[in-house]
Amino acid sequence: MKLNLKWKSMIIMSCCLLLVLAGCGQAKESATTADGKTKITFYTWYTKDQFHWDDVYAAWQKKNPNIEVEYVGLSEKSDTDEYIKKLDLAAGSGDPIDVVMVNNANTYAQRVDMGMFAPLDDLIDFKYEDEYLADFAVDGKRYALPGKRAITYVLLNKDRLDKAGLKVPTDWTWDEFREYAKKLTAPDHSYYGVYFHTWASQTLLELLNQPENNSYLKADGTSNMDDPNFRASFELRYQAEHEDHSAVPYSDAISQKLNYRDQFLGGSASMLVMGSWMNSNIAGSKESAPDFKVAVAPYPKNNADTKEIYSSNDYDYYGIGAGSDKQDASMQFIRWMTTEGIQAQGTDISSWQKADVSKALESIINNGTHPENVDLDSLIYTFKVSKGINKAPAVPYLSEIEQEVNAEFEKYILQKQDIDTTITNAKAIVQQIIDANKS
Amino acid sequence: MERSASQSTASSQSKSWLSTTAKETIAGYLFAAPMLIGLTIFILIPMVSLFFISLTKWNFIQGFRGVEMIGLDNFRHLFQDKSFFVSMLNNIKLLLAVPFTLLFSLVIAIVVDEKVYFKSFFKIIYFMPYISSVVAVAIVFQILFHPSQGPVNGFLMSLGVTNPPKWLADPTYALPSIMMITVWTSIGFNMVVYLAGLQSIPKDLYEAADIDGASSWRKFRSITVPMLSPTTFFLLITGIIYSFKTFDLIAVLTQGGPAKSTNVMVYEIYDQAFVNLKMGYAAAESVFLFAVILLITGIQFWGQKKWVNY
Amino acid sequence: MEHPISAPNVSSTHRPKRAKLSLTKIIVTVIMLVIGIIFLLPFIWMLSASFKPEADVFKYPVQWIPHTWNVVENYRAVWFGDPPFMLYYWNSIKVSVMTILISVITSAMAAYAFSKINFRGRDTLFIIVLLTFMIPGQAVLVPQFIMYRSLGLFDTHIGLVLLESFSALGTFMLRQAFMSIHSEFIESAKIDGAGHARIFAQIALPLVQPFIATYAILRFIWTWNDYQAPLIFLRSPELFTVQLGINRFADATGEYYSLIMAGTCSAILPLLIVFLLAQKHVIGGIALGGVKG
Repeated sequence: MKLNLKWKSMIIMSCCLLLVLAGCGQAKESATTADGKTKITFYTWYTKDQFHWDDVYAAWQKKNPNIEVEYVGLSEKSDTDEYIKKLDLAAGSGDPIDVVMVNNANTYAQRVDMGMFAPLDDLIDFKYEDEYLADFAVDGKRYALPGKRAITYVLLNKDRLDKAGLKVPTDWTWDEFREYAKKLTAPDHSYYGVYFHTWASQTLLELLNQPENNSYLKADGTSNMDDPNFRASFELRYQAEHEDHSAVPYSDAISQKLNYRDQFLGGSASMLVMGSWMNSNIAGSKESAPDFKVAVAPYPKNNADTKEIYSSNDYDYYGIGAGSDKQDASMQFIRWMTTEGIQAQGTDISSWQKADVSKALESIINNGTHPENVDLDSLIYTFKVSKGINKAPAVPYLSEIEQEVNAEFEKYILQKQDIDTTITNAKAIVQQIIDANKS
Repeated sequence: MERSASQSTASSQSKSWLSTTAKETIAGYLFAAPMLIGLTIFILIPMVSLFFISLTKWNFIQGFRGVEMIGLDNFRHLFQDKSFFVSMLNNIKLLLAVPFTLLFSLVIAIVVDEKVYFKSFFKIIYFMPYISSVVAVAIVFQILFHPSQGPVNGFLMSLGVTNPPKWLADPTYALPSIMMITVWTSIGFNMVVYLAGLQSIPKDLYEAADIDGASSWRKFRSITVPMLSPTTFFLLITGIIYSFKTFDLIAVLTQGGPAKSTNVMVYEIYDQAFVNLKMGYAAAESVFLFAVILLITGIQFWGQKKWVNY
Repeated sequence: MEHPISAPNVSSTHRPKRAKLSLTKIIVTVIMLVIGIIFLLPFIWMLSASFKPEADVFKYPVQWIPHTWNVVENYRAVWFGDPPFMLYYWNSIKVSVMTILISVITSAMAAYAFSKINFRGRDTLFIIVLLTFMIPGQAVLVPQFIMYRSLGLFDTHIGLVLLESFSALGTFMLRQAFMSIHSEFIESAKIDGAGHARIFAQIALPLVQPFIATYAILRFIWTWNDYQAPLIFLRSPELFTVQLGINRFADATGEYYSLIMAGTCSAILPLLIVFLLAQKHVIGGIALGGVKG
């Protein structure tokens, strides 16, 4: 075959180009174990900046100079969905994963079930109940230590409270919450009394303050959908939006992908039911700071005669990869991280029993740009009185259930379906999923 | 170089030890080899593995240790999965956008090709939606479709429509909204391919028709459409296949909602694989989707003899 | 099946009507312009958002012309700011050029084989090629990823290039193009003793130039705009492409849309330029083809 010169040269040139560029495109290989020291990998979704890694690592090296930690942040945007997807792929292709973090109970339960985590019980040389406020045991075995802890509380725009002549609540019910929301809505709806985010947890408001039976499933794995609190929670959302007109419309929230921080800090909503990771936001950061005073109230109760105030807690989970061959070093790291490390970070509250919560809260607020805007007393008080609910151990198919029930809720709140049909459908779907997963 | 017929046959029979067919076959494979090899390694092999995975329950976090053969169980479950069939219905609804896109694109291509001034300018304008990234398109249409404050409903309300649809926030209108966005983006691609096709139609055919006094419509029907039929065939096939593959826009804009009204098959597959971690089941769904696409494409190829001329 | 118009009656004279300004043409131009502006509305929004300070981006009613101009700050933050946008741009150019080269060459060769060479197993092979087009990328992601890790192609540019370079679509499209070449050209060349290589290079390829150009443009666009593949198959930030880079203008509290839009507008430029340059080819390329020889 005679290829003419033009084609021959083109092909040769392309090949050369390819080789050269291929060489340029190779990422540098990271160095393996340094001499004498152990090196462990640490998988997380936080960016180094957010994690305050420099401060944390410096504190770590002081105590443990012989263990080097390689920070592997898998998401440039701290996007947990992206992180989880990449983490699963990394695990599936055999990457060496020593320390690994996940951010919620569903994710944790799924991955325990799939064998991503190593059991920690043999590595625990301390009395667990005396050290941590949360226990992540699955079938009697522990696979992760609790990292930072966030309680659920209510943030209020104090300037507007004062204007409306309302006091900062210290112990209230959802009915009272609705009253507050109505009074804190502008007559021309330039701002609303409350913003509810599009998460499923914000559709279960009257369930998440029950110490037991606070989810779709009971502790024994059967359906909890007969619980009247489901109906009450859905109706609360519906009434706040369509009868009181005091909540930001759900249709806006989903079509505009509203950001809950912006909604509250920017003044579009006067109240926000959210996790206490908001602490660093309300004290102001370089990206944004509220231009009003912020007060904190505990999670509302369902009726006035309940004695205790309960709310849902969220945690970061620190685990060790099942395939890790450096489990001792990894355990040392997560033990340190969940006790002193989080304090070195200075942004969140740890789950360590021995931590001084009030001091930690104060220091977090003072790290902000406008600490004077926060009613610190109400914050400390809220943390003191809020008890964490007991969540049933999460089953691997909980995300599926959550999705399906949420789809029914959406039809209800978007006024496509009445409450009875919604509850009936939700019950049926949950039972279906339970049955399908019995195998 | 003239050769007599008998001379050529004689030479091909005696001189070369390779028959013409063998030579053709070698040439064919040599030409196709680079693409075939690449395709096999990077796409075909993963695809075939998918067929195997669909017969398993695969915990892919554990790598290959997590494979557990369960035969056709995944497919049995598939046929009872209401959610999956709703998503298939959504895909079928989405198909409606394809003929519209082709029609608009053809009209625009013809108009831009001959019937306007500033041709290049218009080519660019109508092509631009295609070159924008999905993320940007999603953000923009979020704004435009805002239920109460966006320009679209603002315009509708100024025309007197009292309760305009909530578009992306309404389970009834979310999928049509996605369709509209898809048509808007795809016109550029189809137009450009049609333009290339129009360019390939020899001009003397039209000149001959003009001499015969043919009307514009006659010319369109008898020259343009038939000469464009390979292009139309190509665009129809790719349009339908792309429609079934819709994912990016939905992942960014609606995540399958609201109330699963924009849940399409690829999104279901993605959900099952990466959120529910059921790789085996997701693979079974992929096999099913593949079969559907294959069937539809097969029908089109069989039908092409009826209307496509080369 | 419609038959083309029969041979011309040579004796009649034929006056071209193109010389004077046509009213129809003007009207059509205006209509197209109006539709065109509606088409462009999203881009006008994007451009305008890139000129605004972050707080104004989502203010309603939409400020088509910004009240406060933040152009210089936004574009400076994008090009000279924290994430190395210029590096991402260069990475995208690298990956796209390599992909186009490999993809056009392999697809054109294969397309020619599938249309003009009569070889055993041809049609079956073509069907298999088409089959690969029918599976969505998300489905094969996991097997591909695992294969990449074991081949050492993960987190490399060449890996990304190879992923996208073997396209059933390109082969399909160019095959259709080759098929519309009248076989007389090929036959006469064969009689002249030309082998397939010469026919391919000197006759067939030039005849389908508009389609090659079109496919090259499309390939460029698809590769340049690809977000999912670089997201999954690249991990080192210094290898990131421009689409990943654009999405980095965010932090834990949310995205900076003014910067994202500025990044997007910057990213669209090469696509526009390439289209502008190459589309002349698409117009003018047919000089050879239409002439009967």
